[in-house]
Amino acid sequence: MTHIRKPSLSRRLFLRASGTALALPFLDAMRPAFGATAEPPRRLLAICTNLGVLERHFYPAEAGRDFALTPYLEPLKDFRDQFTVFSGTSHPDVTGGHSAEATFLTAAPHPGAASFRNSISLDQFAAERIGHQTRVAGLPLVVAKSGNQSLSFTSSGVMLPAERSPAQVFKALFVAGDAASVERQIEDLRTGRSILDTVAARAATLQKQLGSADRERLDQYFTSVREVERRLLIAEEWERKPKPKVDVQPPKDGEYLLEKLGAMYDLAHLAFATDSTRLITLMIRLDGFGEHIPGVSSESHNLSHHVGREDKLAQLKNLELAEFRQLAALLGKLKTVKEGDASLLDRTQVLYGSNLGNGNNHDTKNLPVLLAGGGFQHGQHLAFDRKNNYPLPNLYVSILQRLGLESGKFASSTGTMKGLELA
Amino acid sequence: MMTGRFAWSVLVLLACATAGVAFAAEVPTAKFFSKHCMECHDADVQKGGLRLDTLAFPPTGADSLNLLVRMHDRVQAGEMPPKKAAQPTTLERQAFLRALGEEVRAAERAASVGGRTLVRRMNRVEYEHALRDLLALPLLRVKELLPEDGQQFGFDKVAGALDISHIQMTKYLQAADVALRQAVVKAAARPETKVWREPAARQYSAHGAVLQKCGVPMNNRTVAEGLTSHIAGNPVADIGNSYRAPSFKGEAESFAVLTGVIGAHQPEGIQIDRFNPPVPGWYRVRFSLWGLRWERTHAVAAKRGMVRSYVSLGLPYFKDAQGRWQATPLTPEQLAEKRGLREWQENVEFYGDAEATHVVRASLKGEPLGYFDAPSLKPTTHEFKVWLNPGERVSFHAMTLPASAAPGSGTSQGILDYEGPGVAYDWFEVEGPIIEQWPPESQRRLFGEIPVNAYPRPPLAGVATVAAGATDKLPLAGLTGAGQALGAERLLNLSGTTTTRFNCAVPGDYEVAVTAFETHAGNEPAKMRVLVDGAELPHAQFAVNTLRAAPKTFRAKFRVASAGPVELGVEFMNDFLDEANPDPQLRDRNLFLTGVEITAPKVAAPATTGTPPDHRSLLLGFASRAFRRPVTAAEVAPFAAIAEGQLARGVSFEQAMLAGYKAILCSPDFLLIGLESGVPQPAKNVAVKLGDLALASRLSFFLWNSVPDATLLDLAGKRTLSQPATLRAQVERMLADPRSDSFVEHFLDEWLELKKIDFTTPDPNLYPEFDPWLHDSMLAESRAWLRQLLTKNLGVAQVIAADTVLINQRLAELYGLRGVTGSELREVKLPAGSPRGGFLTQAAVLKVTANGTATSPVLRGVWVMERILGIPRQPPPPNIPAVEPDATGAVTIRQMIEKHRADTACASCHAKMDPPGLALESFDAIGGWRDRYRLAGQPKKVRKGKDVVEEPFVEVVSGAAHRNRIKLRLGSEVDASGELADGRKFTDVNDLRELLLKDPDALARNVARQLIIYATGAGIRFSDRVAIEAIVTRTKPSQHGLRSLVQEVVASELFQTK
Repeated sequence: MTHIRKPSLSRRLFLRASGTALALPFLDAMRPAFGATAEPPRRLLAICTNLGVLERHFYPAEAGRDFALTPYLEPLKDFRDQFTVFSGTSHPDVTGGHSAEATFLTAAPHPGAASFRNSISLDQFAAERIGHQTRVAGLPLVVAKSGNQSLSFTSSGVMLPAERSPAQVFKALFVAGDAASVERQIEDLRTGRSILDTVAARAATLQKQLGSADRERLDQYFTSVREVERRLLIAEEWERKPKPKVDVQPPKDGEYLLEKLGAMYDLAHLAFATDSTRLITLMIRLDGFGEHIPGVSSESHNLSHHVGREDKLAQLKNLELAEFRQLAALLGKLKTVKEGDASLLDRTQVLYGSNLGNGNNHDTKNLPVLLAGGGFQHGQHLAFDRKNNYPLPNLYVSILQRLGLESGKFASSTGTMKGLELA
Repeated sequence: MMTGRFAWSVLVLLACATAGVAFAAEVPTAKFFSKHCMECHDADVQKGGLRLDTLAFPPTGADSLNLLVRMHDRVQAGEMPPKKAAQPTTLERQAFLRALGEEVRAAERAASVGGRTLVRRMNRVEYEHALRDLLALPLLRVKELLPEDGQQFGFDKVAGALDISHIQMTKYLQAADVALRQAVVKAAARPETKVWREPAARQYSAHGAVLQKCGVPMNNRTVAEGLTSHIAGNPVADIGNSYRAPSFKGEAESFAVLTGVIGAHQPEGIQIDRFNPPVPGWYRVRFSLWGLRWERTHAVAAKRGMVRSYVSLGLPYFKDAQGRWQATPLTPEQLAEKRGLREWQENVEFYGDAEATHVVRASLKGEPLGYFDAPSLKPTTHEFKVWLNPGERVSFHAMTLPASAAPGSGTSQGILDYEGPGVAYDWFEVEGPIIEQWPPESQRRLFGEIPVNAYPRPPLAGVATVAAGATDKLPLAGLTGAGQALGAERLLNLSGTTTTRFNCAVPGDYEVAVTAFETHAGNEPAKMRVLVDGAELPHAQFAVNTLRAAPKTFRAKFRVASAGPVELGVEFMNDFLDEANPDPQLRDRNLFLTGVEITAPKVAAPATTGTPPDHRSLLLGFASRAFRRPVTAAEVAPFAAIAEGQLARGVSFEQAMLAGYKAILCSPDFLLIGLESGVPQPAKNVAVKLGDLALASRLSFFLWNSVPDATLLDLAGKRTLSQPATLRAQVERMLADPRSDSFVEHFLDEWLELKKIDFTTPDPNLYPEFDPWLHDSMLAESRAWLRQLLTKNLGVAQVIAADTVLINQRLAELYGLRGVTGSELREVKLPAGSPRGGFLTQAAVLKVTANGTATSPVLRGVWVMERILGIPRQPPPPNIPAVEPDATGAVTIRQMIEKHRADTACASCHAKMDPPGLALESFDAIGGWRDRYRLAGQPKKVRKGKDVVEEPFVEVVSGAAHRNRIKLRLGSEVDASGELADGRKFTDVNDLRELLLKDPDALARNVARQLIIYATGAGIRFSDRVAIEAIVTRTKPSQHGLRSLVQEVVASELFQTK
């Protein structure tokens, strides 16, 4: 043991050594030229805390713009004009208590049913369309005691495992890989392109031979193949491009809720600031956490089933308040970074909510939802019918449209979010 | 040619003016138009939004052509001119129709360039089946990887709706990758087939069920010894949060489950979870089941009865000497003796008659594998075969039990306070992997009989070559992938595999020696395994329990079947980091490699297999099957070039070939249907007969939704497939082949829209009895019905009427029929006057035509019109709001519709659409019979004269939650009477059925049309009607038997021409 040479002792050291320095706040200089477009990009961070949010401390009593800040919104007072609170919304036909964790971003009906199959999540829907513009199409993250439960699902309803270690993600995004593995990745992409090249050549021959009516199909095929090739080429260029360098310490994975959450928010901020991705989801799986949170001495899932007991309610309030304070810190960070003449927050939609309206009785109606930043006319409480909920997927359509996608529908949506206007 | 509006107007004027000598063909049309149409449909009136003075003629584009066809049909049906207007004579009418028909046909001829059908891509159903058949992977699932397909004329097989986008193309690449990787086995040698068997009570999920108080281990039908309980939570600090948790520490021969699912957190039901499939493959699952009624301590016959649970009084805790709370484990006797028991609930029944048979659904990842009967007290062994991947578990849900625990069963003693239905599982057995041949068929399709690594491979440039008899050190600097070079060593600081490549000069048995040490942390040594070409070597998992002072060498053997490059991998399997450890030397577990050495055999091993086919012939064989035609060597060259390019870079033969195969699966010749007999040439005005190869594909994509098999390709190759007798025999063969199940399922999914079965979920407040078993049974019934019509060649009348139904216990209950127990569908004779029989009144159809909450006669009417009678719907005139069903009971749907129809603009269409829907009002949103509409909520007490009575209600057994009997409020009575557009009246659905049965030709015509669209991927043109009529005529002798219809469709010109 004593013979180990110093450098090999800590992998942390390696990470630090390989992430060399460049100053952070000058965002424009740092964003890779390749991903740069005339207009700064639009982004989405979707966060779900899985055990509900106590409504009494969250929803303002008044609807509209003149609402009084509630205890949970108090930490966000500096951003009062930069968020909207939604009440009386939920996903139609989403039932099944905790199993609705899988559908917070998909709105697929009846996740508890035996024959349930999930559908595409909001972020992946966007990633299929704009994901190729950045190094990472979408980044599913999770804060949890264990496991890789994620909010992100493919169009076939398969969960994309979330990253639980901020250190690993940091490495993937900002620490250069060794030349051989880069080369191998590039080879794979090239194989894909040579396949497409071959089939495109065949299509071109067919195009010449076919009659006009049939040729239309071939034209479509040919154009599609060329488009995929172009995207593979972009991916290859990403692979070749040096990773952005950031002048920060690599994050620690941490053990307790608040340090984990803080590390993930820092990471999200970094990933957006370097335009490494424009779509991040974060599942906050509270189960098992409870340590090192001021005013909390029990485990969080236990607290969420407070059965109306004052002592538990008080602790639960402290726990959830701590989450909101972390959120405020994130919004603050996003706001200080300038991007062109706007702030990063103006270009980043931060969706914060829960799959449970009431953790105490597993109710999946009246979901607590807040949307900050991203370029809307915020500063209001949009109150809908608490008995007959307004479809939350409508908000998702608004989010997609704000991302620049021409989507008229998402899951069970019936339109865009009523009362939410673009800034 | 004259075109445009102007020309038409001139034509009319001319015709009127000159009484037509010059325009012999046009005169009757023009005269008829001005005499009978223009009064209402001119520029001023434009009745019904229709304006004929601007009509383009000859018609330009599909819209104006469709308009002419609609005019033709309405005049033919006698709907136009309207009854109150002056009527043309029969001769006038016929002359007009003849002339107009000729115009339409001429226009269609002019518009037709490449024949009536187009080259089209496969839809995703076809794509999945094609890959399954090509790769011999019967359970391959790639459909969901592809975007949903568009639809035209009611089918997702129509060229115009099957677009190709870059997303589609990206998904094809992914799907081909997924499929090809599944086709090649990862195991280096043939896995051993083993039998695993364990008592059900030993499964982890059984222990979970005990904890959730919804399962009980039994010996000899009595609660097993070893069922005990402990205090969970923290009774000292937080008594309010502690509870008594039952647990089982013993052995039991049976395990009874008392609920459909186990707890809110474990919706999977009982699982075979102590068995983990070692390799992907087929497994045979056997298990023993029986039904019972649980009576607090023991099982009795599974008779119909109440669920009772009791609340035990008094805390089951006591404080011990230290003042800590302890649990009181009570025996059943103590329980009965010590505590006063209060009956808590008495409210539940379950399906079936006196001696009940329970039904269990087996599923894998939510997909049903089958339904199995659990007869009362009679252990019954069932088995099924299933493809399992490592980590996958089969689940069992009892469909006939309350879905989750009954109220009160969650109290401290749970099941010992409980009386209610249950299902017992004795044991589970899994045999597998079942291997019929090695390598498996899927791999043979790609690589023949020779193992993948036996193919010759060019040596890789720039890497070491180990000569025969040599022992060579591989340079550590050549290691890539996980970890990093650190001086002369390689450090693996995170879990992962580092790899390097070298050439083997000769085939034979090799040895690899890896020298390594660890930095120790945590409670186990570093684990390492050695892989060759991605597969773990036998006996090659090592615990590296040695430190830097004394690195150790670990050896493993591998066989190389042909000379060439090999990829060696060393994986660090168990990274560990504990930064908080006070001893810095114990914080980080890492693996260090200090040397890798390869020893080659002295002499080359003799080739055990024959000469392997080269990559070109492999690709040629596969491409011929995938392209469904003979492929030339020249055509295969580009695909071979891809593989060669890969090989030149030192990629393994397997990977190189898979890249070539992937290109084949992404090429237009595979994805596009219609290129099999050569590229179709543009042909104007003539129907071009399909070549035999294109015919083979059209046939197989019709009846199998997949590529043709060897028999079809062989016949096509000999050009005999198109001979009528051969074709007829092939259709018989194909329908008898299980692959035609795909036709049955998919055709119904599209024709009757059964694919919409999950679009809505019945409102649990209105239809609490809806459950997954009913859902699956509905689909099974409709599919079995079509299969029966085909097999027995039953007449087309059976589409809407029959004396028998194919049902199981669950459907029997929905249909109100007695004496059917168990999960199997069987043919049951219907009592006289039953409203059931035929697709029209099957639950699946009634469900897809409703929205889960309410039914709309309009939507159901349109469905009957389009799907059963073959009359396409017309879009509503603009600015007319849709009728919104109202579930409050204030207004009936009929009142709303009548109001709607008072508007004459709406009336003409609705008079045709609504009547069949009105007759179907007798059926609710899940296909049950109703005399009154259900309303949400409990019946209220209302004053009726002097008495207080309950509102009308119906009692149903809930399919969810507690399987309670629930009372549902009933609203107004159903009125299912109506009047067809032609004035014939009916009072209910049976009446309507009689009226529809009067014209069997219409039913046959519709089925023929639907089959033609499905089979050819193109809509029906006006000029195709002659061919459709011929099919109807030729099937008359069999009362238009369904199989005869399929045969005549295939024999028709429409099917056999481009």
